[in-house]
Amino acid sequence: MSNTNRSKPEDLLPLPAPVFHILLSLAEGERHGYALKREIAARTGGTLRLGPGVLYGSIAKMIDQGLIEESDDRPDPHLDDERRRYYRVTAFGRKVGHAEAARMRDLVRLAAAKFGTREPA
Amino acid sequence: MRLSTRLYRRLVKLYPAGFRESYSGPLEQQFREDYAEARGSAARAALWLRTLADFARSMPAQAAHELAQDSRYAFRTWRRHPLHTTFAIAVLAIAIGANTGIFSVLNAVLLRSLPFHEPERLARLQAFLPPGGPPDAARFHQWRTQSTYLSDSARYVTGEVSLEGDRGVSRTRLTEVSSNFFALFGREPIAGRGFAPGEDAPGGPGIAVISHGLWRRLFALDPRAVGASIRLNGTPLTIVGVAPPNFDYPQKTDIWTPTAFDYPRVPKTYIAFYFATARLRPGVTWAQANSAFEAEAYALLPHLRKAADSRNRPALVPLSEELAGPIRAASLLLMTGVGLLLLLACANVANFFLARALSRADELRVRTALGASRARLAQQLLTEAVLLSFIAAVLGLAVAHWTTIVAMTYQPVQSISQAYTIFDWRVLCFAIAAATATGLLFGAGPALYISRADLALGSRASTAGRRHSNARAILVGTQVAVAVVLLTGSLGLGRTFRALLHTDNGYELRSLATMTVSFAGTGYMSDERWRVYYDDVVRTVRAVPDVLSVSATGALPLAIEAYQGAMFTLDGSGPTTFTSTIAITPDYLRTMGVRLLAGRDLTADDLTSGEAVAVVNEQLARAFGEPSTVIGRSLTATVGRPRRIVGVVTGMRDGGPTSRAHPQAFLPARSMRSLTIVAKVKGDAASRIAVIRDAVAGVDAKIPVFDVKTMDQRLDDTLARPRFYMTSVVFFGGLALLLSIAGVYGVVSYACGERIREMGIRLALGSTPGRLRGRLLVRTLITVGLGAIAGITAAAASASQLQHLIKGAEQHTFATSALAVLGTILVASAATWIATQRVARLDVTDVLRGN
Repeated sequence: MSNTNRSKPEDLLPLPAPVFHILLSLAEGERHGYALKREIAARTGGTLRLGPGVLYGSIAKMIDQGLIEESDDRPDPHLDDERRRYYRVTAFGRKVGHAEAARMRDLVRLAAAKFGTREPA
Repeated sequence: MRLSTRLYRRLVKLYPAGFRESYSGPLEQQFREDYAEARGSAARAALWLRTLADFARSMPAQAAHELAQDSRYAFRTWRRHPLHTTFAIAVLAIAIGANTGIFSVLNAVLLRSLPFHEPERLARLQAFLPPGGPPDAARFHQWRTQSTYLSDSARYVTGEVSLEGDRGVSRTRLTEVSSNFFALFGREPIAGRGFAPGEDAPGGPGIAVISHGLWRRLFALDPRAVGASIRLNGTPLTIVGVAPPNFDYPQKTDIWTPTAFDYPRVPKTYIAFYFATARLRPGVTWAQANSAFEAEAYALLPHLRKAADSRNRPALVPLSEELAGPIRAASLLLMTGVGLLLLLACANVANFFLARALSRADELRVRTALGASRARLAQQLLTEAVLLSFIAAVLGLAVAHWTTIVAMTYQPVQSISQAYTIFDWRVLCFAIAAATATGLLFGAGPALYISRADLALGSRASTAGRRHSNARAILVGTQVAVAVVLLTGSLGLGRTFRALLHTDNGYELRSLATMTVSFAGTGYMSDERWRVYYDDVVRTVRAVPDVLSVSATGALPLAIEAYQGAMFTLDGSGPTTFTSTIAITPDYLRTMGVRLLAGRDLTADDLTSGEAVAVVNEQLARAFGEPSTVIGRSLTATVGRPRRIVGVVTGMRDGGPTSRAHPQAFLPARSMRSLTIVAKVKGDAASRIAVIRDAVAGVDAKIPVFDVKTMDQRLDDTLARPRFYMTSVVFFGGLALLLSIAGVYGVVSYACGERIREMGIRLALGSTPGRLRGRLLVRTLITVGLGAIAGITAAAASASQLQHLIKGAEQHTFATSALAVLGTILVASAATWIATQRVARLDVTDVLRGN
């Protein structure tokens, strides 16, 4: 039932915050669930703390949508617990991440024009 | 393991199976790590709060996701098996619908509260009327205000009267009450006013309160109705108020007048029976009130102590019981029957699910190998089952609605507030609960099987196969048992009902047209004038083609509500017998088709001559001796002059086939308030009744003609409720039989398919198809036989209950059960033989090569 995605990246937008953050983290490389959670909490200054249910619920959905997949590669068993599951972003996931970033950028531009705030560099 | 981890594991179990199977490990791991990081009890409490919030956020999404997935899968499966699915849905829709329908009846008569203030403290006074009868209103009011155990009590008398309106005369129910009637129920009129104290004293104002229904029918809800005038049996009354919409106590009353103590105020044709209703004092229990009431009754009327029957003993009967009374036991019994039917339907659909689950075993094995967990498959089966039963329940609501309409017609209620409807929160909750329970009931078996069965790829354990066939045999046995119970019931009731239809009631049915005329409030009420009118009626009706004879009575069988009677002796001595006296005109007994056993019928001379004569029925004559010996002797009551017996006739069952003929004396009609005219017609009375009615109505337009029915119609009305019960139970029985046939067929044909290879080998070893089929038949019949034994036992134990449905329902007989079992065995054998046909067509080489 997974990886059966035939939709266009735009169909999935806007992404829920946990999904976008997971994509961001995985863009840097493979991560296991707990690492994702910590990284996201650190990145958002503790405002987005994903509980296990929301985290794995998002992961399950992302796998279903073909945004990410489970990775078979494992680091050196001495370095890590081999029971952990690692995830990596798919090509489609990257496209969706890009599309979401573009959508946000357009939104920020629009806000800048309307409110007269400075556009980020 | 730490407590917190164990608790979290419990929480994880609440996630739907698919998600749980894939992620329970990582979920727990993350929780453990979070927990390890949280130091101190405050941090841990905060973690638990976050975890619970996380669960509440993520669980519904996962559940919805998997529900959608399972539903899609279920729909795909159904598309592949359209026949099976349609059958299952139809069976469940009928079963759930019938259950919901009967429940709506129970809900209306037993659960829904009456539209009165604190209805649970209202009672009917049984067998003892408080002091202060007409015309003494003051004494009654003194009694009720001084009662130590009742806070209030009201008297009433009720009957049908003629209401004169613009569109002619119509019949309505009048209840004459004491002035505090509406106050007792805590329901004051919604327009105008109720009755003021003192207005019920004889000679009070001519006023009335009308029902909401009558307000709509007569005045189209025009407020000017208050103050308007109506005429009841010729008496003008001013409307002072309109009762609340759902208030029609007692017996769907349309008009109330404060004339309970003023008997002659509204001229009546019926015999007035007084009733009293009361409200218990606050703080007084039913037991206390009952013993106080009993003590008071015995103090005033000591002879009541001798009453043998519990219905003749003084008691306070809760009003809800009074209103539900006659249909309570029957409705509960029907609910049981229909509940059994639902159980049967569940067993049937469970069997069908199980069969399909088994035939899908290979597919499931493949899916298991691919990682689909058993829990996930079980969840999917349960989802499918619940989904199926909810679709059935929605369709079943139509069946339920129809059931309420049928029940409303054949088992009418005593108040509009008790109307059966499915649009009631309790009924809708019942339907939802029934659908859920049904789905879980028939889905749980297959789901359990899937979660336990050995589904490892390539395994085909024969012990497992045997276990499953045992499970299916139990399901079939249960179906047979339930079917035998319901079939025995329907055979018993069907036979009883047929016997009722063939009972000789002692009078003709098909050829008699009957109708009532009322002289109340007209000048005809005097002794002689009605006879002038009656002679005209006889002359006019005789002139109608095909009319053979015309006569009249004061009390027609199948239409009698109350008897007039006295204790009679023969020649003023010897045994006394309670005898109802019935006023008749000449030719009545012959017209009715009653047989003369001795002496003669009453003649026109008897009406005019001064001599007091009577014709008695066989039942009365036998109380005194042989019918022929009582002729010429005198019938003596405690009051009135003796009457010479001139004839003896066969008895009539006044209440129809379920009643018995009792002692009666027929007297020449003298002063009559109403008459029921009976015309005997050549052939079917239904074809002539309209002409006869017009002829009667044409004699004097001021005399209302009503209750126009053939005797056949009256019998139909009398048998409506028994017929409804009989039809329901026969329907349950028929459906039960059909379901068990389907059950047996399904099991046998599955067993055939499963053992096809074994049979091929047996054939190759020299066995014959006939022998193989015989073995299968014997196995089926063992299951059927065991189920039948259980069914017979249950049927015998519950047989006496059928009396609640039809009075006089035949006691359980071995023959009835045997017939039910025989029928079940025959159809089971036929189903087995048809299901095993493929064995006969089996080509040994094909089977062996195929494997």
